[in-house]
Amino acid sequence: MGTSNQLIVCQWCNTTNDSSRLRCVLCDVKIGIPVLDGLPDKETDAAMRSAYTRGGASLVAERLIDGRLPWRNRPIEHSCIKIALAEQFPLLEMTLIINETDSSSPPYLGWRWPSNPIISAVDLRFIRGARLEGNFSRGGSKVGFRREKRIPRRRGVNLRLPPADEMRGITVQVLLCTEIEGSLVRTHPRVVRSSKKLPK
Amino acid sequence: MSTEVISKYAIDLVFVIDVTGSMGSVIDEVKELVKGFSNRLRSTMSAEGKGLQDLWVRIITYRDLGEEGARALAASQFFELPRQEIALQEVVDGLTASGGGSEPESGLEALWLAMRSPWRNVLRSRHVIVMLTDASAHPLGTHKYPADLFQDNIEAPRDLVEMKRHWGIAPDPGVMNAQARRLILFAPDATPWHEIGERWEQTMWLQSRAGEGCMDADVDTILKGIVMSV
Repeated sequence: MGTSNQLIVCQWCNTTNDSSRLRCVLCDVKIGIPVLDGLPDKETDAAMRSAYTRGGASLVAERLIDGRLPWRNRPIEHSCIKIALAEQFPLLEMTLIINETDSSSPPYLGWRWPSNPIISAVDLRFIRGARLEGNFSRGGSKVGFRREKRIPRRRGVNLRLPPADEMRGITVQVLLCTEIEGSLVRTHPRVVRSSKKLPK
Repeated sequence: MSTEVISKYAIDLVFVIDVTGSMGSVIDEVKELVKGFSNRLRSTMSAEGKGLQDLWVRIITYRDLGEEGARALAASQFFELPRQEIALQEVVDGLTASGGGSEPESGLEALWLAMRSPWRNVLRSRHVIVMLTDASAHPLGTHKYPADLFQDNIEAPRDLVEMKRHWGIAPDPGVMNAQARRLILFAPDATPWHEIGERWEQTMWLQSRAGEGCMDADVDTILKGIVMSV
């Protein structure tokens, strides 16, 4: 018992690591994540659950997307993809500009796709009367929806929204999506913050 | 001129949440709590003269292993906040209160899973488990542990006496870091929580009423509980 240091062998590269290490000294995979490649079918679920628990959701998601792990539409597969998508939010570099001085000028919404191919589309929801709480919103009614699919070789998206006076009181929510074998997996909505405030 | 030295703590925090039907309001409180959690905890700690070095958070949820098998117990990774706050939020937003049927639930297996979390052992570590339930728990050994969730080969406790020994009874430090471990228990006066709440070391027990969704566990109380325990 106690907290004395043990040695743990990384299952990905067989390197021996001190148990206090978070990631393998050689292959940089988090210690304790089971190997995910070349598994017999009956071991796949347990390995995915184990990887999810230990911080390997993105490794699972990557393999589900490129087919190294089979997609069977199970909750653990959805959970891993959602975590992997959520980790891409900070890399999306999204900009919403609403011109305060010229309310007839159309607001602009744009973003650059992160290099990770896991995001295959972005859903935009336009909500009237939502209550803002940090990066989230509550309540309100949905007044618009748009899905922007990722087009190969196009690095970003530039959208013109309805005029600023029509956008007054509208909250823009974004959901990151992955389409995989006919299923759509997407994150919970987050609010896109405008870089300019609307006049009251 | 005086300079105040504030100790900064590296906090690993595990929320163990009963997600059976009656716990809807607590799940809403947890959803509320994790929004901007690291900043809120930092400022609450600061008001108490304590500092936050860094914060890792993990979510463990449970229902009844007897009814749902291995699916009754689920655990996320540790999320490093604020860097991975969105990913944590994604996990928490996905929580729904359902099922469970009648008491008891599998709270002890979930608590054991929390105790076996991959804690960090760094300077001024605090390993805090916040348990939120409004129901009693099955005795250990009633159902099998889902093996794939556990990090190591330490044999799971077969009863509450063994589990208490794993938690640590001086001078035996148990399986956790004896200086770092903390348990904050929002649980009713029911088996086995009264035993744990009254007898386990470094444990703070805030009683909830059975079957009423742990109503006292609001955002402020949970935050203050964490800060006081550190």
